[in-house]
Amino acid sequence: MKRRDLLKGLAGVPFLGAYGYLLLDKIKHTPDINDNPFIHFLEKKLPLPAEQTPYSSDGKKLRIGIIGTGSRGSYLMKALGFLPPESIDQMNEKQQLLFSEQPDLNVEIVAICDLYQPRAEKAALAAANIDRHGTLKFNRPAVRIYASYMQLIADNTVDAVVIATSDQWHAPITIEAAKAGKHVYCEKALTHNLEDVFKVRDAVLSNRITFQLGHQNRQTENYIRSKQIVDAGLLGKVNLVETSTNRNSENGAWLYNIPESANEQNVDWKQFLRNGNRHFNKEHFFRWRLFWEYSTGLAGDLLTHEFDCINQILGMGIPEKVSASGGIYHWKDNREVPDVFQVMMEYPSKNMSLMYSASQANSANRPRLIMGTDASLEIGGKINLNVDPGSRLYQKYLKNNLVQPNNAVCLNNAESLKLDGISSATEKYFASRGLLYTTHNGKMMDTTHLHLAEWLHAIRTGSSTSCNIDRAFEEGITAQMATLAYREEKVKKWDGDRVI
Amino acid sequence: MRNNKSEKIALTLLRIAIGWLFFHEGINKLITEGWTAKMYLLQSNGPLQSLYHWIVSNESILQFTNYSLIVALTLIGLALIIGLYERFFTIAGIIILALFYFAYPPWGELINNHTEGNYLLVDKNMITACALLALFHFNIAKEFGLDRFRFKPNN
Repeated sequence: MKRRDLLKGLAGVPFLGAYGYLLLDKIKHTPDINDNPFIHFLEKKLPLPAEQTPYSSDGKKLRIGIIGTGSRGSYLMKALGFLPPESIDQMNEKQQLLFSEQPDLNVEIVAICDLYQPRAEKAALAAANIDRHGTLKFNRPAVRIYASYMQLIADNTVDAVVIATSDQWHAPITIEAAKAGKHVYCEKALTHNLEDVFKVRDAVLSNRITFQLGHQNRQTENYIRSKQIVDAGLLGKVNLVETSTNRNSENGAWLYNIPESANEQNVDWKQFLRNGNRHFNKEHFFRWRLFWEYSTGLAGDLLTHEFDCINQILGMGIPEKVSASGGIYHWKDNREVPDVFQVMMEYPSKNMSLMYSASQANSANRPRLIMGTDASLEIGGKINLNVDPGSRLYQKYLKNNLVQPNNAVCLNNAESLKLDGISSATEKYFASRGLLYTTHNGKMMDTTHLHLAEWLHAIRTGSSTSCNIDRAFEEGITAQMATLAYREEKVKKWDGDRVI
Repeated sequence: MRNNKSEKIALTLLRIAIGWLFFHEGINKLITEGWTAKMYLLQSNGPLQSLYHWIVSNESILQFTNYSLIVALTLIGLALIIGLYERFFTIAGIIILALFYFAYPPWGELINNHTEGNYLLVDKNMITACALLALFHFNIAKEFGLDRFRFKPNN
């Protein structure tokens, strides 16, 4: 073989040698991210994300009655695995696949109750669609429709009820169902007035039913993880929490569609009114969230989600003092409830404040912010820990430049801690990009489906629900304090037993 | 192909550079403790999303994918650097790049602040794949690379 041939044939080999030399040199001179004492400290303090146990649907098939089948009620039915055949027709292939893959909860919807007849009929067909078929294959008879919730509750074939009515009916229906020994999944807000909060708690406790309030955020991996972070003491002493609601659309401002065909014949207006004898009003029936007579406004509808989310993480319970302000600043329609709304919740004995702020005419993205003496936690699609420059806990790491103050450290889970550390050489420790997944044991899941699954699991096994009546009571009292503070323009106080 | 020495050297350098890129991707994953393609696959948004999500849904398939990817990247890289079985490995490289391309196809919004560059239809994966396609046809390793010995065993 000629020397020229040999050299040409081996042309690439020196590059391999150069690569090996450079790599070894780089390994020698790159500080190992895993050797960062700050990371070691976090890893030591922070337990691994808890493996979520799947909610078992084994055992007896549970028979459910749905009371209220508007947009939320229909969504709950979908989360239970029931959709009208025509809705399945309208889905694209991917949506159909996702829906068909949603786990079977081993339930049957045996009865429907809604005050608007066409809606009840549609829901009754959805309830019968146990095979999740489109119109072509669907051939089952609709399930029973009851004209009143009392009749549905009296039905012996109903084991449990899902309540998704307007706010003013949550309490009366929950109380009746509890008295009849039916388990209850109730949408937020817990009640429409203060006295009902106590009555609902008594009814649920004395009849020993399994109760779940519809704060599906309890199932969200990020909040479960955030609780671990707070419990591990990584924030120091929490003294201020900021949380908010921002929406900017007609739908977000509750201006729902009013069906033209709705009239006094197909709307049970009398039953809709809990008190009084107001004349039939379509706007009030279909846009009930805008009026105090049926609604709790932003306090009951959206503050409650935020409150429960923070309560899930911090477990701070009912505020000792609540003040509220705001007004109807944008939607100059017939509404009575404010569209810009602020609530200050004070916890003197826990040395912290919780600040809620909402706008229905702006959709800025404001992450929840939990502020402690050592760090702040920003909870959005990702969980970012920002070490405070004044922290004592992290003092030595700050001094040695092992962590940069107010530079986000992404803590979604153990994997993100490792991955983000590696993925970007330009950022010192962690990339702050979010990891887009809300998973349940590695699978993308609908939180409402999980929340219902947890409730059904609890009914079958006697275990507790995550948003049980104790948590619901805290939510209910807080929402009522906020509404009263706004409407009466007074600071409302909680003395441990009652609101004054 | 024209018998121009500078052209051949340029093509050889291109092959080695692409090989280097693959080789380092493989080695880097190999030496990174706990590396997994899980997050990459979970966040993918292209036409192969369901395949990638299926991979993630099963731990042993995910592990197999992780190892296969490391082995493939390293081998392709090594082969391209030293110029061995060039035609086979350029095609293997194109297939891998296509899998990357369709994991995050640049067909979406014009402005995306979360990526390190801005692409519309054509991205670095596609350009590298095109370069590999050219290398496949020129087959320069027959002259500058170990393939020279395969094709001229007695010379």
